[in-house]
Formats: sequence, C-alpha cells, structure tokens
Amino acid sequence: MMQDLSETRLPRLILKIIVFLILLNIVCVAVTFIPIGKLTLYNLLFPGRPRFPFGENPSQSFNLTINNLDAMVASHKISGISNDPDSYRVILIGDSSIWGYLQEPEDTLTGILTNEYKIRCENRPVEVYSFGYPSLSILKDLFFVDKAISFNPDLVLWFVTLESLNQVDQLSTPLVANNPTMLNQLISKYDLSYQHQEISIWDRTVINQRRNFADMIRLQLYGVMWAATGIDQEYPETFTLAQRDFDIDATYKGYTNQKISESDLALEVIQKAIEKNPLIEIILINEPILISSGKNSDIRYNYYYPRWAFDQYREIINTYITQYEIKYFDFWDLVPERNFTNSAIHFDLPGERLLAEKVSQIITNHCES
Amino acid sequence: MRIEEILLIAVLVILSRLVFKETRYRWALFLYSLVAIYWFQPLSPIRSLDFWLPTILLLLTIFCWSLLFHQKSKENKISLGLIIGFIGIQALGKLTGVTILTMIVSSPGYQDLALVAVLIVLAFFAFKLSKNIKKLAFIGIIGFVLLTFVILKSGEMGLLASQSLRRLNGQLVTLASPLDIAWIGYSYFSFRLLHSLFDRKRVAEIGLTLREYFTYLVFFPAFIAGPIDRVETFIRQLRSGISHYSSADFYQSFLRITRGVFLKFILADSLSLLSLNSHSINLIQRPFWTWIIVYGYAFRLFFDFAGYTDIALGLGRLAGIQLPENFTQPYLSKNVTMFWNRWHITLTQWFRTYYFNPVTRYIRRNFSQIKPWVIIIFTQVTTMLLIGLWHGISWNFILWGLWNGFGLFLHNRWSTIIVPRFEKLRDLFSTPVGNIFSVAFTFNFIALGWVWFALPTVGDSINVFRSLLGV
Repeated sequence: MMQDLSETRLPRLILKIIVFLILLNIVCVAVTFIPIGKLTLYNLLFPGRPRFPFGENPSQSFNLTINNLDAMVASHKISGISNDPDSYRVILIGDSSIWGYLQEPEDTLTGILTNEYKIRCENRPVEVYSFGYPSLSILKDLFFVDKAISFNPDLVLWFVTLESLNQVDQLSTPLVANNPTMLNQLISKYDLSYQHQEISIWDRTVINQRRNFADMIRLQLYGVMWAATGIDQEYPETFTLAQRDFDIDATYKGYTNQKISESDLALEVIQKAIEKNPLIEIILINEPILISSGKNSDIRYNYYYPRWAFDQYREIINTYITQYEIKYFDFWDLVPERNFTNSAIHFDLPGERLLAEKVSQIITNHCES
Repeated sequence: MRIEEILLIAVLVILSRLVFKETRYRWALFLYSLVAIYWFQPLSPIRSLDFWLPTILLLLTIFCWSLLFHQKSKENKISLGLIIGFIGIQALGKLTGVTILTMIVSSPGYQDLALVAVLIVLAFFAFKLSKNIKKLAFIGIIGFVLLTFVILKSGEMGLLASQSLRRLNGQLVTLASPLDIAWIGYSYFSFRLLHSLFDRKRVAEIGLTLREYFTYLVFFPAFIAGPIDRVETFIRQLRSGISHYSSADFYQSFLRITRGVFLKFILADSLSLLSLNSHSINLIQRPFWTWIIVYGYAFRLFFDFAGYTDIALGLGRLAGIQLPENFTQPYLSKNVTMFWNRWHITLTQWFRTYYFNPVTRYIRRNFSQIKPWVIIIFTQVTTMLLIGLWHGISWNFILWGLWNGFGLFLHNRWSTIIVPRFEKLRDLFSTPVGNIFSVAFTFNFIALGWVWFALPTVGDSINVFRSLLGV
C-alpha cells in the first residue's frame, strides 16, 4: 500500500516543487518593486543600529556586509525614530572614517556629536545620524544621500576625498556593482552621465539572488547578537598602523603626466545631488587625511596620495564649488599624523574629537543662519 | 558533508540501484564505502596522516574480520584483492604521475604503500593466530580503540601525538596542534567495531564476509555522524533484495534528505550566528539575551545533529538500508529519562547495552548489600560521565555528564518515590498544564546543561550562568 501511494506521490511531489520554484522565480522577476529588504526585526525586537551593517569577520563582529540597501536602512536606528518636527536632523554621509572604523559607536563622529556636544538648534535638540559606509565611492555615497533625503534631514554633511571622487572605481564598488536597479534609477533621477546597467531576467531570479536573501536573514539573526552585546565591529587589540614611510613613487592611478583634470573626478554627482534636492541643505566637507612626515613624505602625503595629486584635487574642487556655489569646508589637514590608525583616512578618538569640534560649529552656524 | 557531496552520493546510489543487480550492487556499496573513508578524511598538515588514518580503519576491519569470521571463499579473496588494488592504484598514480586519486587521498609515499600492502596481508591471515593470542589481540584492539579515543578527545594528548608524529616525519614540532589529528568517522566506526567485538559470539554466528563486514563498519551515509546500527539488522537488510527498486524508498528518502538539508544547512547554520562562545559571553549585556542565546544554541545543536541524521537515514534508505532512528522529538520530552531515550538514541542504547546494564547486573550480583538507589546513582552518573568524556576529555564535558547523570537520578527518585506517594501530584502532572510544565522544565534543564557542553572552560560556563541570573 505504502509503495503504491509512493509510486504516485514522488513524481507529484517533484512536479509540485518544480512548479513552485518556477512560479517563485517568475514572481521574483516580475515584482521587483516590492522592497522585501524593508521587512526587518530591527527597531521592533532589536534596537536599530547606529551605523549600517558592515563586517569583514562576522563571527567576531556579529555583523556582516550585505548589498540590500533597503535592509541596511531598515536596520538603522533612524528607521525607528519618527521625524519629530521639534528636532533638528543632521545626517553624515561618507566612507569608513564616518562609519567609524575601529571606533565603538559612541566614539565615532556621530557618537561624539550626539553624546558629548548635545547641540541644540533654536531649542530643538540636534539628532545626528551616521550614513557613512566603508568604501570610497561618490556613487555609493549618492545611494545613501538619496536614502537620507527620505528622512527629511535639516542638514546633510557629505564627507569626500580624492579617492571617493575618482571616476575610475565608481561602478566597481561592491555596493554599486550589486545594485544595478538602484544605480539605474539614480542615473535617471539625477540625470547623471553614467550608462544604464543591463539587468537580465536571470539577475532578478530567486536563484541568482539567493545570496542576497540569505544575507538579509543573517542580518536579522545578527540582530540578536547586536541587541545582546552592542558590538557591531571587531576591535583588534593591535593593528598595523597606516604607512608613514614610502618608496620614491609619485604615481597615482595611472596618471602618468601628473595631471588631474575636472573630468577625472565625479563632481557631477555632488552637483546633481544638490541641484535635485533644493529643499535639503547639503554641505560638502573634504575629510582629513594623514599627512605623513616619514621617509619620502615630500613626495607622498600618504599611501593613497602623492602630493601633486591631492594638491591638484583640492584646487579643482575649490574651483568647482565656487562655480556651482556649493557650501564647502576643507578639513584635509585638521588631524595630526599621530591620530591616524590603520589607514590614511581613519583616526583615533582624539582625532574624531578634533573633527567633531569643527562639525559641531558647522551645525551650529547652519542652524543660526 | 557538503550539499554537493550529498547530491553526488544520492545520484550515485540511485543510478547504482537502478543499473546493478543484487550482487553487483552489494559490491558497489562496498567500493563506495572504500572510497568514502578516504574521500571524507580531511587533509592533515602531518605528512601522509590523511592517508594513514583511513588506512588504519581498513586494517582494523580486515584484522577483526579475520579474527571473527574468516572463512575461505572466493568472495573474500576478491574483497581483499579490491582493497589491495585500491591501494595499488594509488601507487600506480604516484609512479606514473597520473593523479587519478589525488582528489580522494593525498599521495602517500612508496614506503607507506608497501607497508600497507604487507599489513593488509598480515591482517588477512590473523585467523591463523593461536586461540590465546587471539584473545590478547581482542584486548589489544579494544585497548587501541580506547587509547585512540583518549588521544582524539583530549587536547593535551592530541598535541603530544601530533608532536610525536611530526618528529617521526621530520616536520616542525613547534607547529603541532591537536587539530592536526582530525579523524573523520572514527567515533562511529569504533562503536560499530566494539559492538561486533563485544558481541562476537552472537555476531560470529551470522558469518559475515569481508565485504559485508567492511560495508557495515563504514557504510558511507552513516560514516560521519552515525547512527550506530546493529550488525544483525544491517546485514539482514544487506542480504535481502537490496537492489530491488522501491518507490517508497525513493519517496521517503527524498523527504528525509530534504528535511535534513533544511534542518542542517538552513536552521542550524542560521542559529550558529547566535554565538555561545568564549568571545561572546563576556559581551552580553542583559540576562534576557543570554537566555535567548542559550536557547538558540540548544536548538542549533538539535537541528545540526538531527539534520545530519536525517540526511544519513535518507541516503541509507536510498541505498536500500533502513538505518535506526536517532532523534524522536527530544525537546518535547516530559522528563530527563524520556529525553535520553529520544536524543542520540543509538549512542545511549550502545552505552546502555555495553556499560549500564552489565555494570548494574554485576553490582547487583556481587554486591547485594548495596542499596538500590546507590547502584542507580552510580550507574546513571557514570554512564553519562562516559558519554560526556566521549565528546571530549575536559572538565566541561565531565560536568555536563554529571549534570545529566544527576538529572536522571533525581527523576528516577521523583518518579519512583515521590509521585507514587502523592496521588494529587500525579493527577496534576497528567493535566495539559502539567504536561506543558514538564516539557518546559525538562527543556530548560537540558538547555542549561548545554552551557557546560558548548564552552571550553568551567569559568566560561559559570559566567554564562551568572549572566543568566543577572549577577
């Protein structure tokens, strides 16, 4: 009897599974507008994260790197806080230095501004949120600027550096490369000169996106560890300090003639972001970099930049912001060499405090104006 | 086992079962098991060890078979020929540079291969030993198996063994680590081997061929994580119409493997992100989350092991062998005794058969003056202690064994002394609320016991208990 039943059951079961998988893939391909990443347990069961999920060593950091922007934003604490008209919202955009690499949440720029400065704007409490994310790309930043706008900030402070503006790596940054739909939307919305990315049907199937879905679930599970420990990053006891001594090498990204032009930089992204969001104040900040005093430091400022490249970049950006009347602050040499940690753009707590002092003045001045 | 390996085994078994007739199919199972012991063995930094460890399983099998069952037959000669041929192919591969089998085993040296060939032949002729030496040989094998357990389960002994092997090989001793000696499948192989040795009189009556004995000991679906089948049950199935196509087998296997993959690779692997380890425990800020993480670990352990067992049972059934169940809803048990009858069933049955029952009988027979409750506490606690030590020789596993041993004893006292005297109490625990309370209480007792099991040091476990209590 059992055998008889199974004779018909097995083929039927396999057929049902195949049909189910096909239907699931069709639905997934057809219905791309459902923001599944917004389904989250953060701000419900677990406290929202003060910075976006990012983790190179998940077992130690209880965190992981994912590519779904909706899921990232949904896990952020800003998603759980209603927009109070009686508060003054500031959102910081930038790379790993703004995210706070090697810094505990309260020691990041956002943490210091929130906990130590407690700025008030016309009696309104100032809420500072970090939308920094570790990778150097202005297009990646635009993803977060666009997300930030939906939270009606009073002020957006956008930290940039030459590496994030260089045209060369814009499209290959993992977050950008793995979000072609979002990229295409932004290219259209902001009228950018980048080519739209081709997205095949296969790219949108469940099978192809299985990693994304798995990561979204993992992000929810890491919510338990985040809630339990408050840890979202690995803090090694020792780390290798950013390079201070250099070879005699003045090269920069294949610029053989030691000449950078405006077209080499993705300044258009900033200008368009500001132009298309006239109701939001966006201020550009050239973030601090390591200015080394080590061997051959007369040739290079640091591992990233030969002096000629960074100096030219500052000249170009100065001309550009004047031309387009962009509010801009240049803090490139604000942080002393001793305050840099494992990279030419990562600083320690005293370094963060130096920057926080300047940023708090910007916020206060903007508020008063 | 990775998902690709599970799929590969499933396809191989289905094709073999459809293509081969009875005898050839049984030979196929033998050959697959032969390949599997080398295939599953991870690479070792100690030179040739990943060749020697599975080879020792092979030698032990031939040696014990020769002692227990040897009889002259063409089939046994073919089995021996295939084993030697398998080793020979590796020699040929090394000689010609054709890396036919480098995917399966690391290339052993010529001396290793020659030595193995000699040892195989010697093991095959072990039946020629005198009766007294045979007796000594059985004791020797049991001693070897137990000593190996100690080496594999003890960090210090493992390190010492690694250092010795490295010294023997002329390798850097300072790089030695107990992890160098990862012997996949050894535990379950040993349980089956010891079962056949302890029950040798009864097992000998079945009269196994070398092919049958080897297939039983290292049956590839159950090689890594059990369950521990009994030899007579296994052989009965192996000798029946095993290759006969049965759609029920395919259907049930499909469901079982699917469930196993879901439990292991989705649920267990996801819950593994809720880390209960030395790193995380000192960082947890509130007792609530410690409870969540402890519960998460309890479920992860169950899903992981039950998932693996489902896969093994599914693959076994696909191959035509119905392996014994290992888990039957253990976390729904109403008491600790019931839990240990439902968790890792074949292991607890093994210890019950070869330790608990004989020791209880022995004490009752020879020390009749000892009170029954003393016998019960002694046998239950020591049984669980041994099960704990099987997982690893450390204070934490000892404490885990004691935790469960005393749990079993307390339940025994509760159910035999307290409950019968208070009828209202019995009635209370028969109600749905009483049942829910019993299940919840038992689950919590077991889950808290895992705190000893999961962490490497007593201090770590105490920290977790402190955190659970908020102190």
